Amino acid sequence: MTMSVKFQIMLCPCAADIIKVTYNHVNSMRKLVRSSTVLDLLDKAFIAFNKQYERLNDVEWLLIRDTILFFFQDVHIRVSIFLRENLQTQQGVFIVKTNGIVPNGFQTPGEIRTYKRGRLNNTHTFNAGEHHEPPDDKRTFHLGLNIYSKSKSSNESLLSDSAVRRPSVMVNAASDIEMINPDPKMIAQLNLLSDLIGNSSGGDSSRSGLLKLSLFDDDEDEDTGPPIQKRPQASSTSNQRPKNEDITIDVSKRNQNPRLSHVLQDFDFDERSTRRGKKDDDDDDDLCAMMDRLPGSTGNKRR
Amino acid sequence: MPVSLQKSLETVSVKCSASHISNNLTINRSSELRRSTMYGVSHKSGFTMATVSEDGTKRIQGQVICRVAGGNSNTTAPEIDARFTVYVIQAAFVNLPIRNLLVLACTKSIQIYELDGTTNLHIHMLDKNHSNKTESSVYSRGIAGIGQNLLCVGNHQGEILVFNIPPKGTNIFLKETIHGHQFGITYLVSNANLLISSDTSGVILIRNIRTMSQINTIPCIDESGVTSLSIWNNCIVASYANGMIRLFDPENAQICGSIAAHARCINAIDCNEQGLLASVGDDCFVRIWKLSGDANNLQITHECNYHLENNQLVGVKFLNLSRADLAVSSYDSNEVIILRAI
Repeated sequence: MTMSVKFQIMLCPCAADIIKVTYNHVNSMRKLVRSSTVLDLLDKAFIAFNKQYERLNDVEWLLIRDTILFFFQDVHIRVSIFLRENLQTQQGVFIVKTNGIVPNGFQTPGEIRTYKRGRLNNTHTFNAGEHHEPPDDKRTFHLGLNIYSKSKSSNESLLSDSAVRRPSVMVNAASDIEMINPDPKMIAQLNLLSDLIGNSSGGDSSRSGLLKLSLFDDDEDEDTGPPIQKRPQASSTSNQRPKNEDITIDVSKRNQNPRLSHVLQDFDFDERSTRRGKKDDDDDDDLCAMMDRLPGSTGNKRR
Repeated sequence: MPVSLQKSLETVSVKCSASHISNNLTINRSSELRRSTMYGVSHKSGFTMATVSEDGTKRIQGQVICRVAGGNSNTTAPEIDARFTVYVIQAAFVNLPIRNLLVLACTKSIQIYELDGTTNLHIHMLDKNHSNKTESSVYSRGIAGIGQNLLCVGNHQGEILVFNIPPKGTNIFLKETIHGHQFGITYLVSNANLLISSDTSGVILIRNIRTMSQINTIPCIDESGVTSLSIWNNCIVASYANGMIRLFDPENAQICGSIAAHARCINAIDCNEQGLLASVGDDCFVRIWKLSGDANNLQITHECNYHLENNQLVGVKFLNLSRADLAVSSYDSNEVIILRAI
């Protein structure tokens, strides 16, 4: 955070642009604030700030900027987003690009004029070494805006408008808060899409998706063991047909499907132990004993 | 034959990095008596310097920490309390005929030391009562020696404080206060006859040294303040915060030249006797210009540029008044870069 404030102060084209950075900060804060009292306080603070600082001249702003830069002197922390965006060198020094549009109130470097008795005598030019353009008030000022924001287009950059940035890692920033509360039309479209993808059976899909399981019939005593294994099969069938139908799973018909009962036998440890003749229920708690009973592990001794 | 610059392999290292303030490099050039050059830069609350012998072999480093305003040595950790934090706004080696001094113009005080920074000679606390409401910070800025034994330092109210300096000892006292500016002083420069002062609004006042009366006023042009001044051949050179350099004739306060020099604020300029003018700014460029003629008939040519990448330059001084070699200082760097003319 320290380095991003240092970045914003150092890279301001002219010292009075600290006002513009503050405007960007305050605008971003206004989007985050929900309470009206806090918003009111923020506006009052902003008006007070404006009243105090709009009358300063440019050299007074230079003193303000220099005093802030005293605080950040010798701080060279490398920040991953700056390194990625080519704004900072590996030594922690910020990359200062000074070509492009000159700040407001400046002239593009290149002209030398001489005067005789107060009147213009001669004008000639020199090579400034860099390409400059005249000041442009209409460009948006980018310093102070959220550098992680998703809503930035790829043409914009943190500094000059001419540089094209590589797309950076973008996360859902708080300033994208209007994107987090989308309009109802978008919600409806997304829901339709999820229905189309999620429910492949087509025509008779219902939206409720509720599945009620009655494991226990109050009237009857039933063995609850096998339904636990059978439930995945039952629920998968019920998902495919999400109607308000009752599907009865009758446990007593367990042995009707020979293939299923064979599958059950693979799951069921208790039956195997009865087959082998061991009636040792305590060993069920012992994981190693259970592993011993697995097929193919008859040779394994417990260590 | 145009001048071109090459970065010298030898750099002068000082203990601390240079602050981002204007005119943040002061040099005590080598002379017959002392064959070494002293370089000094301000760093936050202190001043750090290096003395380099002419052949470059011997290097001595020194440091001066500003005395805390109020002199309350009992307070715990005065550096952390913002009320007591003192910053150096401008520092200069002053060479008067009778004596050489190091002057630190700080917030809340003016501190005067021996040239090597070892002994503090005088601390003058600045007056806090100000009628001018624009400046709410109290500071001094602008240091120049005039005459035989007078030291002038400007302040935030636009006043110039004139101190009498004795040949030896610490009997330094405030002789007079000169009013005239409505805004804080940014720089003072003097030659044999004139004292030139500039302020944050861009007004330049020209005074006669002997009488201290105001001869002329150069008004502010295009609402930009003056960051640095220099004199060459009775021509005033002023650098502005909007990247312009303008030259004026002090006799009639008329403009005789203007250069759209930098794309960012100009932090320092310096002239040598050959008519070379060097300017540095936040655009990381050092530019050299050649002045010839005089105030009535001035010719300005551009000699060369030198780009020091990613270094916001805050100070420049010619090493020798008859050559183009110069030293530049840069923000956050403790290297004073020497550029030699080839």
